[in-house]
Amino acid sequence: MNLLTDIFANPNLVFLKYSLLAGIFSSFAFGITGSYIVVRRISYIAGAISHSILGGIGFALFISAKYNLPWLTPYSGAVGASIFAALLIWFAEKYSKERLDSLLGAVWAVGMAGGIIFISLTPGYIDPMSYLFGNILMVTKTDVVVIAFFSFFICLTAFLFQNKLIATSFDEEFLEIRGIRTDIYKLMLLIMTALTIVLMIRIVGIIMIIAMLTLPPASASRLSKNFFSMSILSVILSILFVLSGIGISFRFDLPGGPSIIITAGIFYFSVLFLSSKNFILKFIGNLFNK
Amino acid sequence: MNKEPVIKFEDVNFSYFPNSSPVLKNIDFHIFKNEIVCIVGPNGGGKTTLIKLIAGILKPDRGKIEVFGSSPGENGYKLGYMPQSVHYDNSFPISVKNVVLMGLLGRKGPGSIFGWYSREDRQKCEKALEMVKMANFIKQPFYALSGGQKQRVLIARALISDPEILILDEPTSNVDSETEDNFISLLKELNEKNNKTIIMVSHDMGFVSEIVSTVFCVNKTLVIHPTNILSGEIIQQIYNCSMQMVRHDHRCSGKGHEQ
Repeated sequence: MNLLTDIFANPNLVFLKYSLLAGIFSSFAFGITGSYIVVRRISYIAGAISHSILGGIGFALFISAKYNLPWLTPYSGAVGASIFAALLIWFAEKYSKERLDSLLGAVWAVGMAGGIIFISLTPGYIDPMSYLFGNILMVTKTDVVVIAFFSFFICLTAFLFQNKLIATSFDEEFLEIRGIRTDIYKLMLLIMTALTIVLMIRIVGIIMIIAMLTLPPASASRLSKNFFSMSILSVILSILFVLSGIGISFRFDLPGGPSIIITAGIFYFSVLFLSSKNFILKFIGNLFNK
Repeated sequence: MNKEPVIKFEDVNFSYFPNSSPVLKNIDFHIFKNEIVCIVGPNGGGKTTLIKLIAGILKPDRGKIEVFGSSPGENGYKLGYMPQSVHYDNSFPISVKNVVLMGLLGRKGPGSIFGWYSREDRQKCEKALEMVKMANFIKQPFYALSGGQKQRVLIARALISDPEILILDEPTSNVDSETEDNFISLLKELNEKNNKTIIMVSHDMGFVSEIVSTVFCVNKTLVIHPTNILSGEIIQQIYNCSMQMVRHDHRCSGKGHEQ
């Protein structure tokens, strides 16, 4: 408790306050969007979108330095790239006969390669590490406001269209026969995914963001019977992981993003182990009885 | 029996791509109210395409389709559809109630854009589950049900919008014979008591002949066999095409499949 009051009162720890708030606000979007990603089994799509974001960040840094456009922040580049990647994946899935996983691999790698090239072309030194692995020192007050706004928007969309989004995830074929445009709801989910990913780049970074989208909902799904309780529980778990991760990183002087992911990972594997404990014990028993 | 057909196909052709060979050719049939029709045929023979044409998802290249006297798709709420139960994710966290309510999505009208359910909808859900004798399971997660129970829930989902026609895709593909018997009596009841017209896609001929009045054999073209005049030759014909189905599904127990 001492630490908490310290964080919000001590002016020297203002970065910690911002990253905690950013983590809490984005957890709402992460828990809800992540639940859809887990039940639809499309975490590889989320992976491709998140990695392609580096391309957008690099592009924004390069153009903004070259043509002196201070409003073109890395953040807006990230939003642009993630939405572009989501639209590309949606179009390709709908109209092209290309295998989805080949396309995702291309989006994934080309995005990263483009990002690194743009960053190397940009005058001055830019450390791509902070985008790749996150840096809680980088969170500003504006970031917190933007994150709160986007997170609210994503949750509102998910809340309003919940029945159709869940139904689309459960049984597309049925809805199509009923005359429902499932492609629209699939696009909605992809855009939600794209925007959600952007929210936590500052904290956990591009490479590990997929863990924040999958570990809380995957743990929650082991503990809940319907989609609603699963998404609520994933929001709560996501907040817990962010708080304890940042706490651990502050206390032991460790990098923030990885601390959050490790916390979430330990929890996930424990739930997995406990819920399949009997099976594992039986398996080990069989090994020794032979 | 009302002699006005509920579904009318007149010389319909359909192909998925322009200038490619048609998937369905010269399809011509009527389905009447209260009929139980079974569509049989090999994989890729056009059974699912036929259903999509009835639902109005696909448009024919040639010919005319009428569903309840108007073009398909306009009377979508009069069709209840049950897809194959094979493709469901066995860990999807969703309750029986929410699966059944899904059958109400796609209604036209104010507020339908969000697809929220009203209290009246929840009552309809209970009623639909009662019709298939699954009312006690309303709060259970869908994945915890047995194959036969899932099938009943999916029928309830098709019934909730109070359709006049039920379309069932491979209803007996994944269940044991006892479940199948219960299922046949449920269909019979829905047909006789609730006046539902039933169209099903199946390749199980034993199941078919018991309650079905007409068999459509679809393999690019369509041949209609009324079950009361099934001759040896016709059965041979039907079995030829259904045998192919069986082989594709690996349900044969002959030596031919043991490798």
